[in-house]
Amino acid sequence: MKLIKRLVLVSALLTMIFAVAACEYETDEITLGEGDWESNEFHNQITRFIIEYGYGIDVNIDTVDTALLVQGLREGTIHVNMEMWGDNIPTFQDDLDQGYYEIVSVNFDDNYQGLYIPQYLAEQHEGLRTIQDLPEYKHLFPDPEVSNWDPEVHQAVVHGGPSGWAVTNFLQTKFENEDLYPGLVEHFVFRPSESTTLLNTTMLSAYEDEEPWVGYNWEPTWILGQLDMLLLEDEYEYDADTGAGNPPTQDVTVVVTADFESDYPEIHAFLSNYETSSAITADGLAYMQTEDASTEEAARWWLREYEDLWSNWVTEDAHTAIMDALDTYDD
Amino acid sequence: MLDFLIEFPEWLMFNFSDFIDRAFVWFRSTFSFLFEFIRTVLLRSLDSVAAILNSTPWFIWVLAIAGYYAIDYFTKRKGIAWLTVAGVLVLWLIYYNAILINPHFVQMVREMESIPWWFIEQPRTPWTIYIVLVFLGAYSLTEWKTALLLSVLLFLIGAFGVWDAMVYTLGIIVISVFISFIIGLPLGILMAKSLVVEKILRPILDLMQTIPSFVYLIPAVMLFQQGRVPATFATIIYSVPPLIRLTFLGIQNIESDVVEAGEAFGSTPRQMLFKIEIPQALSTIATGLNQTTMMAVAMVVIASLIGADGLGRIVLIANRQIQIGEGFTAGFAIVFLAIILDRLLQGMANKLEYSEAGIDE
Repeated sequence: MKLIKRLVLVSALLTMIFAVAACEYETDEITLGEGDWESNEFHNQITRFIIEYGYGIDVNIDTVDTALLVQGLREGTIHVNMEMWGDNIPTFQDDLDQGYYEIVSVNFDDNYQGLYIPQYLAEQHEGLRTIQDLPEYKHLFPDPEVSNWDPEVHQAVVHGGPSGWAVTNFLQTKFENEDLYPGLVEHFVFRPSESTTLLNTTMLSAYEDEEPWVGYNWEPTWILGQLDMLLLEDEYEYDADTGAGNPPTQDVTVVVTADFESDYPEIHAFLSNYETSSAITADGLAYMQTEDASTEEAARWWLREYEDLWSNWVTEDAHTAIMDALDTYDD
Repeated sequence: MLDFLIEFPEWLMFNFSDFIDRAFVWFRSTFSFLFEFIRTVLLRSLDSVAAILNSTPWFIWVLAIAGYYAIDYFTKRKGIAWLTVAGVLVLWLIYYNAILINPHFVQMVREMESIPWWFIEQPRTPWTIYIVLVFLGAYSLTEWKTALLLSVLLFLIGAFGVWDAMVYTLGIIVISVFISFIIGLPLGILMAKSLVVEKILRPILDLMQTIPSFVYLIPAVMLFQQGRVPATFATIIYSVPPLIRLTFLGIQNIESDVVEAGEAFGSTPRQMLFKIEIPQALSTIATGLNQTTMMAVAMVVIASLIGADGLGRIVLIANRQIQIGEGFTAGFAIVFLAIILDRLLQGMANKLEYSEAGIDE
């Protein structure tokens, strides 16, 4: 009995302590959504620095999967997404029509995506430049899932992005379209990678061994900034329904939730001016790789380097405050 | 002044990750032949199990089951009966590998029209066979109620529309558990026999069980490429420790009078191990096997991140697209699969315990 009494007492005490500790103070902070790729992290760090030091509002960064990010934007738990790849999100247009969130600016629109091969492979095989050339070079791309792979019998592998991405669906359609791409349908299997890390790992390990590799990727990423990769052309014009052609460059936009403008008018004004380019982004990402810097360090480097660009986005006061804050870091 | 006692100072840090990076690169390039070898072996075994699970026609299974019961009935020796089952399946596998999926042979048969078509027809294991097998297995190990329940659960997996994914997942689990068994049993015995081995193995087992599996998933891909092989590898790392620990425990906890009796009769160390210690520890080892299987089932979901197909991948994709229903359906299928495997293995463990206690039927 004594033991039970003691147990009850202790657990009651613990409950009280937890109850006290769980008291939360309501905070005013902006939540940025973040996917698992670097350019997104990089833009978020720039934005965070500008908002925190320029406008004095705390910024919280939420790293989640794309689908959850969209869900967060809809429900208002995530306020801003700096890199919305609208064409990759099936519900994007619908959500805009419903007014869940709005586009305030185009972050960059000079990006490429499609099937890439390493540059060294292109040099070894002069004839391999387009997607139509792939069947002829089938023997280069064995399927790791098949033991004793034989190009006469088995299909070769093209690595894809995560299933569920619109571009993955598009490429899947391409590899099922027998009228336009009979060679691809017959000789290749398009295999989605369930995480971008997996996709990049297969690419990187092939690259390190100078082995052939073909698969999906997109710019701007650190990995394409660092590795010398070549985008395969397509002889056909782009058509989303038949899977023909290479996906056109798409608008990567900055989106904010519906009531963001009334809650944070100043930040809204700043985000509306936020415009960079693939090249500028890749610059920052390359800095990260070559200097072995964190995204935060890269963001600070970028803010120093591109002051002329971003000083037009923010108010005069914010500009001075940010420059002062930058001076306190010695990197 | 004493700031360095509060904030960790930079001059006390060293670059551990850089060291690991370099070690990994060296490791990967030096032993690449070994990894290629392991990869081929694993891929072959995975293919074989997939062939047995997917492409064995019904009459092979009927032959195996009938053979088991017939031999059990006439000779009363379970060992020979099981050997018969294994023999039938292996013979089938050889036929399958050497003839059915051999493109040159298929081509040859097509040209000679005298050989009937079914000779080279790609067979498919009927789902009903699985239900019969699970029922018979569970019936002989436990009681008919459990057997019925397990069959219904298996039926439900099919009704959910994830049968093929389940079979794929099962293939990875079977191979992982089998390899875990081959690695785990001798290590467990060694650990029980030698204090040094125990001292070395213990922290390694702790490491294997606690290190976040995400840490070794990507290196596994770099060593074994994308797909089922790194998935199996990661699953083995995660699931082998309980088997080693329980084998160790089983052998350590044998009552000393049994061992003394063995010694008194002058048994050699080998006789001691195979006639006294392992039989005495069998039920504990079976429990370890059960734990290992459960760990493997849990890991298979995570392994889908590195390209393993199956139930885990359904869960992953459903989550990415926020299809809650789909995710739960595949999730329940995993639970059912786990329950079926668990009850079967537990039945085995219980049976072994009875036979240890001398209550032989």
